[in-house]
Parts: sequence; structure tokens; C-alpha cells
Amino acid sequence: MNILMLTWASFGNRDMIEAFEELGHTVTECPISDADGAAEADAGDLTGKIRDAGPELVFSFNYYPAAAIACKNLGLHYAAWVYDSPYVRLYHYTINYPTNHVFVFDKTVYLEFHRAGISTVHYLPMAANADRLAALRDFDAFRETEWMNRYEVAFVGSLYTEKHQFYQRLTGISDYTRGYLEGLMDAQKQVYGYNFIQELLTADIIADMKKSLPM
Amino acid sequence: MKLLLYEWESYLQYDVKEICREMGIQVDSFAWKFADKNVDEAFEKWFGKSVDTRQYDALLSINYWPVLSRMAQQRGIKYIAWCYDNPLNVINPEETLGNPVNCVFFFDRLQAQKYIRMGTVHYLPLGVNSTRLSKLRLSGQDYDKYCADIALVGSLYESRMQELRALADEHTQGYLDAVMAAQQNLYGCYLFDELISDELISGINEYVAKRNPGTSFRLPKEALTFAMASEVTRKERLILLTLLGRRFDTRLYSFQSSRILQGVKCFPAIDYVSEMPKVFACTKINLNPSLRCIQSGIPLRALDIMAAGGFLLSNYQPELAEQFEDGEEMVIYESMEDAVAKAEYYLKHEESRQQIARNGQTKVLKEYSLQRRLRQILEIAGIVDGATA
Repeated sequence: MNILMLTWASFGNRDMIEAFEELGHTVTECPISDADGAAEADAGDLTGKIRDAGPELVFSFNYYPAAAIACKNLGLHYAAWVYDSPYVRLYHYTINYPTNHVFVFDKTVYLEFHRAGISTVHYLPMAANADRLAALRDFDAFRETEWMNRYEVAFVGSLYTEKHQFYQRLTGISDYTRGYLEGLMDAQKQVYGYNFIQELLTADIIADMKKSLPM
Repeated sequence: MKLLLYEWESYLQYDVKEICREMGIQVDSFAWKFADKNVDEAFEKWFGKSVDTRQYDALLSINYWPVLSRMAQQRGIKYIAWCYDNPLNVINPEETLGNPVNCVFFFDRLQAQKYIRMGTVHYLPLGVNSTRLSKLRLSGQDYDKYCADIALVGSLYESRMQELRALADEHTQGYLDAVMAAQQNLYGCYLFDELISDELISGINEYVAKRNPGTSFRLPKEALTFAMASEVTRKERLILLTLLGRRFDTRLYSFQSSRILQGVKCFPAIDYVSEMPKVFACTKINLNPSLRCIQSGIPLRALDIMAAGGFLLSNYQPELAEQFEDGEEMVIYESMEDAVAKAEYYLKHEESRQQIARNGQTKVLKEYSLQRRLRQILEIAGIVDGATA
């Protein structure tokens, strides 16, 4: 099968292409920008590119409404594997286009869509390139590297302080709202496996936040 | 064997006396209304003059009374405190809990763990008088009087929260509201001990002092967390009763009632010994929304319900879930929606409801009897040895 992969600066592009190829498919890359454009306008541009490539399936990491619109217009399957959560573009009106096959790795997110009667969102845990990583399992070779006995503990990831912090921009909220948000966050810090922040953000609290930071 | 019992208006007392009689233990008792649970000079004087402690193997009380511990320590007599209230409702219990004469029993494992390092504190689940309850017989009149789909026997917990909340500034009020809202939907994880920090309490006290110069009022942490737990419990009980009252024949037996409870039939409080078991046996589904500061333990009410042959529908409590089989011996709910759905299911499935109630009763009468508990207590206290107990 000919697959057109919409690539942006995401993790896993190389691994995904390898996996498709190992399964006997042909992959063509089509670079896209991750920036939020107007879906309808971007779709026009993308439709031409996809038509020129003539694939049988379009694939992207995360979900792009412009791609969904283009694929619907062309009658093509669009597979999107979403590795960010939450991921705001899932809530775009295009999500239930019949040509969509959207995969999310979080069962709770899947259930949210399933309960809303949306059948184009599926549950699929994330995966790794097992062959590439299995090649690392050579302890004798590892022993010779500079990494041996270098660190005992590592954490690879974001501290969520790198980019802008929405909370610190909420300067105009009332003392009550600030106290409420702090209480909510302190409570959530004690609890794993049950996220209650969303259901406890009352209409009044949201209204006060919107007043401070209109969206 | 002879025990000296401190009498007050407690649920367990009648049964404890009955059980001592049954087990051939002599009991003398005295009553006293303490001016202060910690120190009461008049009591200490009277006790010193009138009671010859040498004739007793131990002084026994339901719940823990620091003044009794102090007296027992002075007189060198063992003091057994059997607590069925949680928290203790004692200011700075650490001051006396470690007295070597003490032998204090908590039914909540987390609370016991908090004090276990003192060496005088033990964990022991509560129990019921299995002799009395296995003799329970119901007449047609009893059924006519008590038959209902759903009942809650207990307090609505009028809390002091509104009053205490008003002491705090806006920011703290927001914080308290959010933490209570989070706790409302959360079972098996108690937030208040951790999140109501000493800084938060001093913040409230400073704010009170600033607004009322010269005041001697100090809000203790225990008072605030107890009020918060009561408030969450009250809200849960009102919501649960309202939701169920709208759908089923629902009753509340309580010394309180509430105008906002629509669709619920409110009855006065009932006697623990003569009436309560009959209510449990004649009601199809008995609710146990635990007081939220009972962090992990099985409340006495849950055991009372099962022992009387009643079907128990309880909130999730860790020790209940560990020691009883959910859906076999009782049923656990995890949210208000879950409680309503399970009530509806078990009202429709008569046979399975009755089987669950029977299983629960068999287990409680056998394994959660006060008789067995008292033997364990006397053994742990070193008054009888394991072989004779």
C-alpha cells in the first residue's frame, strides 16, 4: 500500500516509517507545519499535495483537522495516532468524519469519545521500535562505554516549567478563585488514577479565570 | 475477674456489660460528667477517696478519657480504653496516651498506626453482641412498622463549617471549598490531615486576631478538619437520601431532620438495643455513608446492620473492602450514581439481596462478636493469658 505520512517535528517519524516498510508498505513523506492554521484554508493546500502523491492511506502523528478535511474531500482513509494528552484538536468538529481513524493511547479519553457516540476514535496504547531497541541489549558492549556507572537515577522529560505557564498568567483572578485553584491542585497531587480537576472547576471559577485571561 | 467500668451514654456500654455477665466477669460501674476530659479535680478527689482500685483487674471505658488514664496511672491499675469514635475528640492525646497502664484499642487501622509507636495502642476492629442479635425474632407487627425499601439510621451531622469558614480570608475559603469538593467524590483517601497544614491554621488564627484585637480565640486544626469531614458527610447523606427518596420508599431515622429532604420519610431516632436491629432486618437496603474522618476502619453501624441480618450498602472503606466480600456479604458504592444504580439493582433482585444479607450476618456474628473482641482485649491487656482466653 502507498502511505503518505504527514511529517512534522514529532517523535517516532523514523520508527514509524521503518515499521510501515517492514510490513511491506511504501511510504512517502509530506512535511507539514504543526502551527494552528485555519483548518479549512490549510485543507485546500493539503488536498492538492495529497492528490499529487496519490496514496491509499494518509498517516500522521497527532490529529490534523486540515488533513481530515482534505481526506474526506478525496475519499481517502486518514489514520492519526495521537500521543499528546490532552490534545485540543481532537475536539474539532471534523473528528467524526467517516474517513477518519483516530487512535488515542489513553483509555479515559477513548471512553469520553465513545460515550459521546463518536466511533472514529479508537484506543491504541503507544509502541516502541522493538527491533531498534533490542539491538541495544548488548551489556558487554555497554560496559565499555562512558555511560557505565555514570548515573544511578535519570528522568528524561519536561518539568512543565520550560514553556509559558498558564497559571502564572492568571494575575487578575480573585483571592477566592486563587485559593480554590490551589486547593484543587494540592488535592489532585495526593491522588493518582482519578483526575477530578475538570469536574470541580465550577462555572463561577471558569468565569473568573476567563475574565482574567480571555480566550 | 473484676472490672471497673466508667459509664456514659455510649452505644456499646449495654452490650459490654451484658457480655461481661455472660463471660462471668464481675463489673462495678460508676458515672461522672467530667468538667474537662483532661483534668477534673472534683472527680480525682472523689475517685481517690471512694474507689478501692486494688480489687479490680482493670479500669474499662468506652472511648479514651485522659482523666481516667491519669487516675489509673496514679493508682497503678491497668486502664483499658475501647474506642469506637474516630477521631478521638481529645486535645493533645499524646500527653497521656503513652501512660504505661494504658491499653487503648482503635478500630481504625490508620489511626492506630498514628499512635502505635507509643506502645500502648492496639488495632482491633469493632464487634457486636452476637448472643443478643442471634436471638432476634421479628413479628408481623415489626414488619408492618419498619418495612421500607431503603433506610439510613444516623446523624445528618450538622457541622460548624459555615461558622468556621467565615473566620478565614477569601483565599483560604476558596482553598477549603476546593479541598472539600475534592474529598466529596473521593473514598479511601483522606485529604484533610495532610492539606490542612499548620501554616493554614496559623494563617486563619492571625486573620482572626487581626480582625478582633485582643481575642483569645484559637482555632485548633482538629476542630476545622472535623467540621470539614462532618460537612462532607452531611452533604453526602443529604444527596444520597434525596436521590434515593425520589425513586424509592426511603426512610431516615435520626434525631435530626432537614427541610430540604424531599421524598424521604423522616422518623425520630430509635433505641440502639430494642429497635435498631428490627429496622435493619425489615428494611430492604440499609445505608452506611461513613463519617468521613473514619479513614479506613469499619464503622460500628456497618456491623450493626449486617449482624441484624440487614443488607448493607456502604461507601468504600478500605478495611470493609479487605475483610468482606463485595457483592457476596455486603455491597460497596463508589459514587452517588453507583449507590443509586446498586440500590435499584438489589431492590429488583430479591434473592441475591437476601443471600448477601444472610452471608454478611453469618460472618459478623461469628467473626465480629464482642465476645471474641473482649477476650482479645483481656489477652492483649495481659489480664488473661492466651491459653485460658
